[in-house]
Amino acid sequence: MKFLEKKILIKTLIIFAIYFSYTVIVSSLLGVFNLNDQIYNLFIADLIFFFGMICAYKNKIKDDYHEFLNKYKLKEKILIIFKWVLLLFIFNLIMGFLTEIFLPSAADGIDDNVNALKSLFGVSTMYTIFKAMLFAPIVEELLFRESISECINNKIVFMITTSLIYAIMNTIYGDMSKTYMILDFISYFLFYLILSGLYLKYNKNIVIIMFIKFFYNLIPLTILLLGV
Amino acid sequence: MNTTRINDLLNILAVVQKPTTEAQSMNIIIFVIIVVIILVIVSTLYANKK
Repeated sequence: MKFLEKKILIKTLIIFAIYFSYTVIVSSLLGVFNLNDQIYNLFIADLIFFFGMICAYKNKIKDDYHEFLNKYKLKEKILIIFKWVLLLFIFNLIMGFLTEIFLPSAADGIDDNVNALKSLFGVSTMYTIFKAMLFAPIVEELLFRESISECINNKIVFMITTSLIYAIMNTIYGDMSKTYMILDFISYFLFYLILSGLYLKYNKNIVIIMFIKFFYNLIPLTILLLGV
Repeated sequence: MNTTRINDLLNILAVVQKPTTEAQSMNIIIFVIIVVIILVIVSTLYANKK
């Protein structure tokens, strides 16, 4: 393994280690100063990690943004994002119908990740908006897609690995004993597989995926804000 | 038809980690799983390339 490849691999593993520990570290540090509001501490921790990730990948974000800006005309840009947001939306709807057809007993169940987000929304609207519109499209894409893509060159293996990790992350904090968890896992896996395919289709341009995820998240967040 | 699940699947794509200490052991397990997945894949790909 070349020195550069080793360096990239170590960078990715360190970023993952930080991702799984930063909330505890920041909360503990804030606790020393008697700041014990959990949501407030999480917000600060996420903000620190958010800016850290942007600094770590600033060149990649800048390059991809300029490529997206210059390579496509305005109409093409809008069309790319609108088309894929719509297709992903339809895909998710189909997955919802399939879940009900194949597992009717799961109809009353609520996805635990969605539940967590709804609870978060009840506690802090601002934090939920930040989490859904900035943290998820930017940080999660950099962490789960960009960093892994730098380590794994094989396209198929990359698509499967990143989708697998994403699906694990979206379901593992839930109640694994619930029957519909496997269906949620498959839904998330296929959804992220499509996004990984798009990432490769658009020449590993992470900014396009960030925009697609941003506008996709805008739909359920608007529904949540309107209280429909 | 009960549309609860359909509404849920139109969800916000954001990972919500359980807060702080209560999920820390879980976080360590997931981290180890992810590290193992990445290392196994990278080393396999590297071995095949060789």
